[in-house]
Amino acid sequence: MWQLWVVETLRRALAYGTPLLLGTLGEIYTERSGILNLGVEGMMILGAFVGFITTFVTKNPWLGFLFGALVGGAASLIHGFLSINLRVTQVVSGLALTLFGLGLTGVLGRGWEGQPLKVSLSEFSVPFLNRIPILGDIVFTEQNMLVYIGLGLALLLWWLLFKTSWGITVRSVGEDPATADALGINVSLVRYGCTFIGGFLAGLGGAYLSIVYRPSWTQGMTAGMGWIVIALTIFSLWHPLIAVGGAYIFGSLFYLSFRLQPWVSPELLTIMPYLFTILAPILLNANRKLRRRMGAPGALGLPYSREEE
Amino acid sequence: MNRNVPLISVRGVTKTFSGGLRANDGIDIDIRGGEIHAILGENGAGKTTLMNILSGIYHADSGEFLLRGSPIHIRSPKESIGHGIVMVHQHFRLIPPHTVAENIVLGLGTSFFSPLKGIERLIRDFSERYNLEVNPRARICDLSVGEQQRVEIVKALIRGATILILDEPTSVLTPQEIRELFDILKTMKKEGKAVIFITHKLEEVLQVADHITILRKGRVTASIPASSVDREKRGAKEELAKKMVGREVILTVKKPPVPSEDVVLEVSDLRILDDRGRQTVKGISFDVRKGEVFGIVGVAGNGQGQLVEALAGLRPLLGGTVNIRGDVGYIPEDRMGMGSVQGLTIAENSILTQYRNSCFAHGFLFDLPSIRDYAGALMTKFSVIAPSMHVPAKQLSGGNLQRLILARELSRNTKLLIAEQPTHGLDVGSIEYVWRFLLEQRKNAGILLVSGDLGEVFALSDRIGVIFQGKLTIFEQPFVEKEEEIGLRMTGL
Repeated sequence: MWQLWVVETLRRALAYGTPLLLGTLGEIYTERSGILNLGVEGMMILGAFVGFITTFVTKNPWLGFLFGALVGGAASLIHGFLSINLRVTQVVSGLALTLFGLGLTGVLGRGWEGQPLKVSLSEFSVPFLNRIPILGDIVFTEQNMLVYIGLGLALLLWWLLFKTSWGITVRSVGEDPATADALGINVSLVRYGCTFIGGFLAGLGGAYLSIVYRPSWTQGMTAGMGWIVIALTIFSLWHPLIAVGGAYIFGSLFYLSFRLQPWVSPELLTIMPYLFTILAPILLNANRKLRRRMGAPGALGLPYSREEE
Repeated sequence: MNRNVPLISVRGVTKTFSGGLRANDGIDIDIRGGEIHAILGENGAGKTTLMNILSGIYHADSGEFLLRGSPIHIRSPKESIGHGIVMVHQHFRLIPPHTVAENIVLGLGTSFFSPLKGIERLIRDFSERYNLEVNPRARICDLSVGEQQRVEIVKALIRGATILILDEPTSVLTPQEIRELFDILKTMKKEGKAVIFITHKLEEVLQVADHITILRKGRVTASIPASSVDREKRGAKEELAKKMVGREVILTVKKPPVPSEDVVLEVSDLRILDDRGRQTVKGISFDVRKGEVFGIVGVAGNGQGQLVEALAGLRPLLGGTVNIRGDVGYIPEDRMGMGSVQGLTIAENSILTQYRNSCFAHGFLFDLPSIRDYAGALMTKFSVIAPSMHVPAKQLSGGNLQRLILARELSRNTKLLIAEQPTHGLDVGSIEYVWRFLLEQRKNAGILLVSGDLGEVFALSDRIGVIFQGKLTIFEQPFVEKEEEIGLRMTGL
């Protein structure tokens, strides 16, 4: 009996953790290039809103994902312009983006609240692979396509970051932009690119929320997921593969907060992911070896300009 | 290649900084392939400025460069690298958490998919050819300083350097590593590359250089083949040192002695580590009495920076004792970063080291009228020129800012005053001003002057300590006869 429970929790954790994974992968890229974007919550909610409306109007969830992601990416470019060109304090600019996203969708979304989405992504099982004991039941049974896209993206982004010349460039720009600049690298361009990736994936994660997770539009439906993404970025030590594990742990917590409701008070359950957000860094810091590895990119949050004497 | 056409020629290069400091003044140098060309000079002689111009970081006001006889333009580091000019900075341009291969491959335009594939073999090839042991997979942060330098050299060679500029390359190395570096340089020389070796260490220059150019105050004072210097002949090195340090016209400052026996600072057997954990102060003892200026002179990087930091309480001691009787006034070298808060107003800066004093504050409230009066009086007495005392300190020129800091620290009437490079980068008018006030302060305090400028130390000091590689040699008055000896001592001779 309890084995079924565990398998079911893990299976659902994948679906619940996918929006977090997408957002975290994006923020990892943004921060790896040296830009701190605290606007994830705002970009996710914009993605959720635009994704919902697009799907509602066109009846095509894939168009919803695309437009949600593009809007997230476009919003991130505001942050990019402010922090790369105007060199404003990145914390302020990111917070402004979050408030902007929440406020704008709150106003525009009034008429759309409570309207259910008729189409969504279908769940399917992967033939043959779902027969693998336990692993098949967890990973390959009744999942939606976005779960696999998230996993695939994690692998792809890990490979790009650590195995290609572009990855070396991104990491170098985030560690020491002056050195990268001296070797002829366009620091601004790299940072714009990575900021856009961050916004694009946050928007995609947001669209997942309003199309798959809860196929409808509610004001403020991201409910702090953007902030969990920021925390997850740190827990995963800016590493796309560790982010997969982190996102699914949080996914399982979100699932359990529904599943355990008959026995535990719902208020307590709802705070679980947020409580873990506070506990995780304490646990991480207690471990010496982990603490030593927990280095943020060297130039994170610092504006760069070439000094002329 | 015609041996007579220099690989690179510098013609009439002049560079004036916005502060009015002329760092390079009509410099002409010819550097040939297959030669190690030492550029010798004190701090502030303009060596590094010239090399920064050559490597595209700064732009010259006038003058030109000829590469193998034809004029070239150098507008950016990229263009400079394109001409084969690569500089290894004193502070390495390496990314510590990344591997050697990742650092070398950055910006090289290698294959997107497997950037490190060919590079490891290339690094090994270069390592063998130049006897530069480098493990491509090691992380920079795990390497010693000497190894990091080798990575920088391999990085330069792989980028096709034909003219390699090394800025003070030996200052961070152990004697063993220095010998290895010289062997590498000699191999490069054999391949027809030009090595420009910037230094202030005479002994090393005589060991390795083929040609020596001496800069002083932004001008070339000598450019001679090294073979013309007879190393064995007594006086040959001294001749070079004199050209480098220069026989400073000692500005006559009236300096009546202020006799006193009160010791205000006592330092004994002081030992200090620098940020990299190397011991840079190796057992220094001296004292400073009230009424005297004790001048510590030395070329930068010989431990004086750590010494001052330790005395100011900014750096822990490894061993020895420091005994300070009374308060300390401190005029730091970095006047913008440590000497003042750039965003605060002149008035606020003027009470920065005594804002809790009951003259200026009642509980947690400032007494603004008395602060205004005090700041106004300081500005008048020390001639700080500014539109108002309410403008931020960042609007002050270097000389005015230094006067403000001087005003603040001198008016506190501390028993000990530490002045670190107090006139660095100031114009002549401001220098005289600072000197006059420092000498006047001897009535109330003992002054520890730390400077790289021998002329300043001669002009102000009652006793002089020369610091070289963490050790101090103390000279008593009269200095007239010892001038040359003190100058040579700074270069380690």
